Amino acid sequence: MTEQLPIIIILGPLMAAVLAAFAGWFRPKLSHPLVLLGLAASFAAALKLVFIVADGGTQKYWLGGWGDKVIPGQKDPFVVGIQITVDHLNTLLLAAVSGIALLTAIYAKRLVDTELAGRQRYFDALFALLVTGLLGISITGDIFNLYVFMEIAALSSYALIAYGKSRAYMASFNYLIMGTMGACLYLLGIGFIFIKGGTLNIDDLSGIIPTLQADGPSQALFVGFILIILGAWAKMAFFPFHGWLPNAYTYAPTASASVLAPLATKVAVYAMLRIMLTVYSIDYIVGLNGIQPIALYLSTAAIVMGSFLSLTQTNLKMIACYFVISEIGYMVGGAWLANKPGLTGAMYHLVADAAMTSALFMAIGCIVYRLGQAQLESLRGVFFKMPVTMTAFVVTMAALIGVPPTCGFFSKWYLIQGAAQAGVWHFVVALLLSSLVKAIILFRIVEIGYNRVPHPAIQGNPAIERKEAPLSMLIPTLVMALGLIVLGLYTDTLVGTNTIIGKAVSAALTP
Amino acid sequence: MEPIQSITPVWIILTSTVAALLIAFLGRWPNLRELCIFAAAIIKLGLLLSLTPRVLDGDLYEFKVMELLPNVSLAFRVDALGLLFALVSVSLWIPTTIFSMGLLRPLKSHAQTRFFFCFAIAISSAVGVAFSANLLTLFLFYEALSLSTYPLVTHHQDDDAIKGGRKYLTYLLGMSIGLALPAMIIVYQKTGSLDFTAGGLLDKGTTTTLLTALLVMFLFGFSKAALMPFHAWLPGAMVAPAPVSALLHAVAVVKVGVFSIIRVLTGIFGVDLLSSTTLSTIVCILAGITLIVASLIALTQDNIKSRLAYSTIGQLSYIILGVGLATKSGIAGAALHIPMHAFGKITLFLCAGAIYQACGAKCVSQIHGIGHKFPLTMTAFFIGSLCVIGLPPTGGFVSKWYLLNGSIDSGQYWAFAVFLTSSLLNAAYFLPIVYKAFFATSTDQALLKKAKEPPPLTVLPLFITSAGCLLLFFFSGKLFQLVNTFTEMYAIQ
Repeated sequence: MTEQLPIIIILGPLMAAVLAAFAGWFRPKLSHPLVLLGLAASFAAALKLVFIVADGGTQKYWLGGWGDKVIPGQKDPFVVGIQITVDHLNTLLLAAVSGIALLTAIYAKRLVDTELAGRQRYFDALFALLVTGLLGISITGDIFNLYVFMEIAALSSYALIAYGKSRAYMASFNYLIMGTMGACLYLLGIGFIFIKGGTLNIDDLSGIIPTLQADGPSQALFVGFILIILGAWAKMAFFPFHGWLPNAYTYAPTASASVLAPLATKVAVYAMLRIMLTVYSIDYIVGLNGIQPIALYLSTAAIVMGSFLSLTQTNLKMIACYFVISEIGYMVGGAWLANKPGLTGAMYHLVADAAMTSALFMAIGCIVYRLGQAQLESLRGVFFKMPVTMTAFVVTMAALIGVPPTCGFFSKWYLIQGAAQAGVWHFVVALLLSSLVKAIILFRIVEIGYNRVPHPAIQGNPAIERKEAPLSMLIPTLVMALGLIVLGLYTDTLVGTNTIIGKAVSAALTP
Repeated sequence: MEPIQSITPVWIILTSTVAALLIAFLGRWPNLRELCIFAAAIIKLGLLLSLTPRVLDGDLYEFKVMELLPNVSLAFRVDALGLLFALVSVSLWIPTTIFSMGLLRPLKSHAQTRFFFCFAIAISSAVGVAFSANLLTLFLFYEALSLSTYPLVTHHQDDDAIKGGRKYLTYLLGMSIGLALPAMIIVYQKTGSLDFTAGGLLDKGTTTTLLTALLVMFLFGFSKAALMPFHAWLPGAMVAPAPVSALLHAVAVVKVGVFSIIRVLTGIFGVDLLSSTTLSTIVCILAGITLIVASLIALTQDNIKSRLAYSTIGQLSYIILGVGLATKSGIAGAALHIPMHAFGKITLFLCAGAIYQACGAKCVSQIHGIGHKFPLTMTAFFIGSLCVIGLPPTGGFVSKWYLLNGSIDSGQYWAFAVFLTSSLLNAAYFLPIVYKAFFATSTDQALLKKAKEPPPLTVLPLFITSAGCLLLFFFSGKLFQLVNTFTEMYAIQ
């Protein structure tokens, strides 16, 4: 049974998507439990695999048992089967994606019932399909399948966003243009690699690409690499391809945004890491003259710009979207630092940021559920109205600022250390600046939501009615917020020398 | 010597956290709520005292909670200096709580539960800083203290409070994240550790430029120490109610700043490194400037609380200057100045609060001739001033004595002059208040008519702390033993 675990991770939500669509036809109430079931199976398998990978190393799975077959007549062994791989680089991400998806599915029920009444089953099916795509990107061992899953995720997210009100169509359309361009660039890049390498299997490519360049750098491989990276950047909303993100996630239904914002961008970052570290190699990245500094400057720009634009926003959702943009800069910068602490920081932040963004959007969703909007001025007294939600919100913001012992502190710790080691001081300054900006925003919200309204105990002040979000929303939010502290406290278990991220980093650094 | 593994330090920190939770639940029953605070304070004090004999023998208590980063844990270690600081903060928590009850209850102030809750958390954080075994743990509690005191500073929730609170966080959070955090990461990057070690972590191989940069980043990064030019948050935070200014902005918060600086200078840089390079001089000059300038500004302040705030800024620099001298008696004087100044300044702040409660006077010019209306309060004020100025028979004399000795030992005679000048300035801005309160003719008859001795709950804490100022002078030997254990452990010559 254990050897089948990798495929359960994708099959769970895929089956759920299909069944939810059909069952929903006859019994609309069935669709949500089905999705929960599929996601729970997926999460259980992913969690089990974390422990298996931590002990036993990489797990490979050949779909349909096709395996590493040799085509008759060919001289060299040639892969025909489709491979999926769970190794140190993606196992934590798989657990994070499936876990967060499960919690979000529970959380989103009430929001969907109010925002998308009558269309719940479509939402459920699309949600499961989106998660299938995201998990597929994270687990596949084949660069073309990665493209396929990328499109599955993208198409379902266009639909999920377009369900929103007012400007959602336009936002979704913008995203569609940008996303399709990204996917095209990525596909074109794969073409270059396939022409030169003759295979699409990631494991094989990582062996073949160095041999192709034994006599000197290959132009085709270089162009392929650049195209793929640009494609991934467009998909993850990295500066300067970030224009689509704020509107798309702000005008999307709150339920859609709460799953898309934490997961979709993070998975695209993972795709970039996979291409950089496994298909190509760290030596290749470092050997590319001039590209590394550009990527680092762009990361700095992403962080600085995301931070400053978040300061100018008056809508909580918009602010959160600009946070996402600046956090993308953290991870891309960490990856391109290409040293041990930088990569550790990027990989740790991949999981940490998925959790932080998820907690942030969940808390905002709770506020929107009760207040009906997320404009900053509408938040007056919100701390008294929803004290538990706001506690979760403050913890999440503390993690985003990087207050110890939350996970945000430790990712920043490694990223700054990596930047200091590489002497990239502009990146250090950007990271600190972004912390400070987030602190300003947190206290702006505290001022409006807490101080600007005189305390209800002051005489003559009408008592503010206490009305929390329903428990099915509140509990997932609290679990995520608590998770940020737990994740921070167990940092050493994740990033030490002989741990999952530690091994992933040393595998990336030793060719 | 093997450190003693013991979980007691953790319990000491948690006592007031548990108390905070109880406070939150007991909000409806004020008497029970305050009883809970006193119980926690007494248990905490008892536990601290139970550690004292072994610490005096040179033992250390250690407890490692968990590893956070490779080679860096969430870990506690109780040494003489940490114990001294914890004792001061916790023992002053009791009179401050009595005073808070006396002040807030008659006013029917809003959010008293929140007030006491945050107070308890702040005490936990301060003791956490005192017991930290490494820089990361210290940083963690340092930030917890900044965040937990924000609601206290903005307690009144009016525009002034919000403005003061904004300034408070901008300075404290901004500087610690902007300067102290990167400095800490660079130290970790260079040495692979963050533990406070006798003799320091950084070695002489590090370039002077980097060392200087790190030093300046730490000095300004821990901006709770209010080293100029990053001191403006402290006068701004005076919008807080009197007990908050008293315990937090004369004792816990600001002393956490200088305590962190002492830890960094002795445990990360090392006294040898300091005295053998120009670093020592940099610390001395920065602190010396702050000392004189703050005292001069204090002279010009009419508002009693802001005069006290500037006086605090100056007195904090006494401590930093003492450590910067990097001699045995200098550091001993600096460490002793923590309790001495704490008792003196808390008395003064509480008096300011009591005067305001009794007649609504906020400024020095308003209280002319008012002394005979509340002689007890003004006598306490007098004793507190003596302690801060450093005159016998108060504790302040002892610490300043060692500080002066230290400046002679180190050969930095200008520091000697700075100390003396500043003490004269201290006298110049405190004694006129006492003099005018007792002997000048009143300018405001309405105020004079209103004035009467504040209620017993307000006067009792004044009595306790001013008695403390006097007792510290007579029992300074015990404190010196503690400080001596610290200097010997760090082999400071």
